[in-house]
Amino acid sequence: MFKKLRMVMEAAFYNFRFWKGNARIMAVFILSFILCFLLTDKIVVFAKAHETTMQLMEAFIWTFGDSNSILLSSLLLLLLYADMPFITGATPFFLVRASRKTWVLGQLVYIILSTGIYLLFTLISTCLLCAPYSFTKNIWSQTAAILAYSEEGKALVLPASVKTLEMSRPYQSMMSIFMLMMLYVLTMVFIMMVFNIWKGTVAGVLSVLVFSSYGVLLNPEHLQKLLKLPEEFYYKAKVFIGWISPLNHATYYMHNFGYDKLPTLRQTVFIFIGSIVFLTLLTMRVTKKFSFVFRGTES
Amino acid sequence: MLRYDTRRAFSFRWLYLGSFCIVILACISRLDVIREVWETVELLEPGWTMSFVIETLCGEILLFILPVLSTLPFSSSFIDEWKAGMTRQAVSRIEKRTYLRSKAIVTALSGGFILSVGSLCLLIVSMVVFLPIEQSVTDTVMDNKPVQSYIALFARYFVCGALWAETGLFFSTLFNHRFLAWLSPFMIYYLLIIFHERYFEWCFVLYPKEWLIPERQWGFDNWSICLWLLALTALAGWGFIKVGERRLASV
Repeated sequence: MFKKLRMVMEAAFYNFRFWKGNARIMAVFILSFILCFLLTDKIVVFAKAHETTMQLMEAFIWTFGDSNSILLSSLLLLLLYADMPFITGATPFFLVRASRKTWVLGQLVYIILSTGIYLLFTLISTCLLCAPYSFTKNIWSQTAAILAYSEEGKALVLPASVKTLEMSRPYQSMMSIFMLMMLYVLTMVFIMMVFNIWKGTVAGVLSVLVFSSYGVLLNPEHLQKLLKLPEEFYYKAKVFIGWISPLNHATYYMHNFGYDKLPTLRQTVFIFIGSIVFLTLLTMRVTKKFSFVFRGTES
Repeated sequence: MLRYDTRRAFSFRWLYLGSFCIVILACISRLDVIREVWETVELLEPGWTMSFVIETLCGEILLFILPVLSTLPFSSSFIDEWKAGMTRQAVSRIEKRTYLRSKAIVTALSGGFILSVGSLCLLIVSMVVFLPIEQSVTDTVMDNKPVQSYIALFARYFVCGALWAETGLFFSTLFNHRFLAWLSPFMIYYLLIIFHERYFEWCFVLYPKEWLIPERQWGFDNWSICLWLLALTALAGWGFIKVGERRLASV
């Protein structure tokens, strides 16, 4: 058991060796930093205009509490995992010494670790970019109050809802949003992994695009405009979509904080973890039939 | 400059691409203004066309696309030839330094060329479309300030294109990655914006938006921006030659 676990970890950590001096990996992190700048620009300009400060985590909360930002940030991972299923020169040796199952588990552990690093980098970038206008104490700022309790927040399309402010504090909200993003992104990447192994790279990329489009299309605002739904139906549609759309599950303010019938954070975590476990089992199953092709062995 | 470099960098397809992209993007970015003009029955004010061109060339969408557009003709040239094995053939006939110098100069010129031709094309298209519906200047005093502003902007477009193309060439050679020839100028552009807007507002000389739309006094009636950008282009070119020499040492 311990030997197997060691092999899984070795297969996972071996992939990190390719990060050193890798232009693609560097590009992903720099683009993520630029994306954070572009996404936080609205809130920083707002705070500057009102001459107010922000809590250090608020920029992350308002930015990644929005489904579009989560979607944009997650799509950058397509570049990070462009070489999926990570077949390297060491793969034949891993397969000789351990089973396919151990190898693929190693790849999944690598995905979890690298996604964690990527999201941590996103969080730190957002904090660094807003640091000149921020404080660290665990209380909501004046900027947040203006955004939540006035019409200006709605005009800026920032999800600074009153319920977020009243139900928790900045660091706790940040942790919830980080966890939701992590689970959503892992679900997306695991789907990509299944399709990559099962049907090839193109199918992997297409599966991510379909998964993301499904989330975008199931937006209550879009549906209301499209189907011209009255207010009472809009609420029902919002609750229904809150349950069936993975992107809405990843959106913090689309959860039940005691006001409505949307999924609670705990239910969302269970749904995502359930999906991830199912996708892990599916990946292990499809790996059994996966035909490995190593460079230099093609006839 | 080597003839085969100039032939590839200044081919007609880049001329068409630069013109097409800039004109199309300009139209998209000013769609509301164009629609307004289309719907109005009155003649436009004298000098409207020139100010329209200048405002469009300084618009956010065009500024966003310029770093990528300028790299298209020739920024990946060194890495393409290196990976295809053509460099060995070339340096057996000419000196390594001449080869690298030619790449650096032609890349800078091609980057400047694609952007300046695009801006010129936008001016021509705008004049053809809007000048006939603009009031005649015979009864008013001819103001040549917009023309001077356009000439200055044209020059700044040229040097900006040269700088971004050279940056792409330098980073693609440094990291031996073709992809970075197109992506690195875009990344550097935004990193410089972040550097200025979030941390060092006093450092306006490294602010890319200031290079095209100067709000501070740069000296010589803002012509010193061109000198500054040329100095940066020369620095990137020198960096490329040094990195290229190191790469070619084993050939």
